Amino acid sequence: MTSTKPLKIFVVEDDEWYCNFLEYNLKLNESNQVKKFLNAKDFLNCLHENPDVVTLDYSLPDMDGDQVLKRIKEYNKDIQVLAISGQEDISTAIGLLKLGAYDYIVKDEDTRDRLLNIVNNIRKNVELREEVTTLREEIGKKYDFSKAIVGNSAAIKRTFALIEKACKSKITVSITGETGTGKELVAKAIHYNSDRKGKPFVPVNVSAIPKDLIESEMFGHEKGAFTGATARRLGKFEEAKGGTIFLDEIGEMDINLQAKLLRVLQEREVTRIGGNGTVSIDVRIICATHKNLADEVKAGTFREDLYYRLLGLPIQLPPLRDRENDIILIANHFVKEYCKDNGIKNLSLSADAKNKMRKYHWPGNVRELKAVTELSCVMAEDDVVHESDVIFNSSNSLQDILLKEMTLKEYTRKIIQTYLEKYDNNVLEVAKKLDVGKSTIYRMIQNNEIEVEG
Amino acid sequence: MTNDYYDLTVLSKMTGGDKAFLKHMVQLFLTEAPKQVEEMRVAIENQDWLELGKTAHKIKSTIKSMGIHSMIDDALSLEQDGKNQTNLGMIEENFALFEAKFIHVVELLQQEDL
Repeated sequence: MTSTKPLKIFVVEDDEWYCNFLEYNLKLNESNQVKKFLNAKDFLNCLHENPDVVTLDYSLPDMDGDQVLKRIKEYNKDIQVLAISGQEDISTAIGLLKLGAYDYIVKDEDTRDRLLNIVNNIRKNVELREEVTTLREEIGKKYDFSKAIVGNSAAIKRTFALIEKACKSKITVSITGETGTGKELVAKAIHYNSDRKGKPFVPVNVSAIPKDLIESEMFGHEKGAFTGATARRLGKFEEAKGGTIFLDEIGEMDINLQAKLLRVLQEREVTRIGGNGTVSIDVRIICATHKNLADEVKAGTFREDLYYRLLGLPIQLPPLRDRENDIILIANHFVKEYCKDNGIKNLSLSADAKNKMRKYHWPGNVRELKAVTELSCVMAEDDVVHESDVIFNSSNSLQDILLKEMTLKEYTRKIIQTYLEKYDNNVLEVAKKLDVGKSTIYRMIQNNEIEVEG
Repeated sequence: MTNDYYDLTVLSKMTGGDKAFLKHMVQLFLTEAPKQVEEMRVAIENQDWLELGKTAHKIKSTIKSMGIHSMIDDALSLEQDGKNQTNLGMIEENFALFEAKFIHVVELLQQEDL
């Protein structure tokens, strides 16, 4: 057996001969720490030492095996108990497993192999459990919002204050903001900084799931509920048990499904499709949308009663263009991240690059800033990102044109030129469309301000 | 290794073919088991039948693991009679038979070249 994760193993066995047998085998892995106990009393007095594994003889002289097992599980349910008995007795075995024993083995010639296999499996479980704990801590750190969300503008500070309030309470949170403002990041920050952090965070993008599937995705279904339902499936609400469900793009939800969601929120229970019974749910709800839900209510596409149920604590994420110097702080953060990920040192933004970034309107917000910053880092020839390295690919061409900061005369020339190209150089038509005199256009053509083909 | 009283191949399997471990377990039996037999004798002398049942249960488990098949039924009878307080008139005689077999087994085991 290879030396891997050391386990603290307590052997509880009144037969000294057998106790030695177990100890010898368990010590084959030199990293294991094995301690022997010949009776339940001595063992229970040392339970505070928190062993990883206990091998428990079912028939101890001073206490029944199931009583000892109960005491162990009451003290710490993570201690794995391996029940060992002299006789094979199915009902005893089932009883012990129900009480939380990890496994049950009989003293026979196969004991050694079974013991070593089971302890190895327990070791893997312990390792996985520790890994999960470490990862959870890391996620918690990652979503420590004061670090994950960069910025010190007045607008983002107001958001921080609201996130802090959301972390301390179980209130439903509705996050609104333009695309790319970090709605999911905020939802995760709330979850991983709340007392639900040890439970699942389940994101559901309402707009990304086909209409026909969304009900079963959210509420689950029973076997045979519809064609293709070959097995029972738990929905996202059940998956998020004890944790948080994040309903992204809630504004896109079908009006019929809204009624079902409302019922779930009111009753705090779900009914799987094709199921008769209800399943109670303990789930915190965070929803997000880039739409103005109040407008959707007015337009009749979003239920008013659901709107008020979901509103809870509203957090409006500011668009990047309203976040003053945060643009540069965040861009610097992304430059650092890029350098770290790519093993590059000392890359920085030049003053003109920063200026170009400040002037831009960032329709894609932080998501766009990240993409632009990363691209500019790639384009940089030396250790400085220059203005020419900052390339915008925004789909908003009007904003792009306005950003060029031309004179009004130049803009006029550009507009008329574009219209003439569009309307086959028909000056009368263009004059009518733009509501300008045809002589203005003719004069510009005459002065070669506008080029007319053919 | 194998005779009418015991079959050490059971223990050999249990110890995964590790000879030193097998020898260690036999040695341990030779030091620990006589103490348990003595405890059984004291329990009978004190007519503490429950104690007899418990000690017989313990030694039965060891006897099984050691592959001493000739003594398993004897140990089981003493365990059950002690626990249920049955056949009390026969208990001393049964124990004497058990002890005689035990002494013989110990002698045979001491002669084993392990």
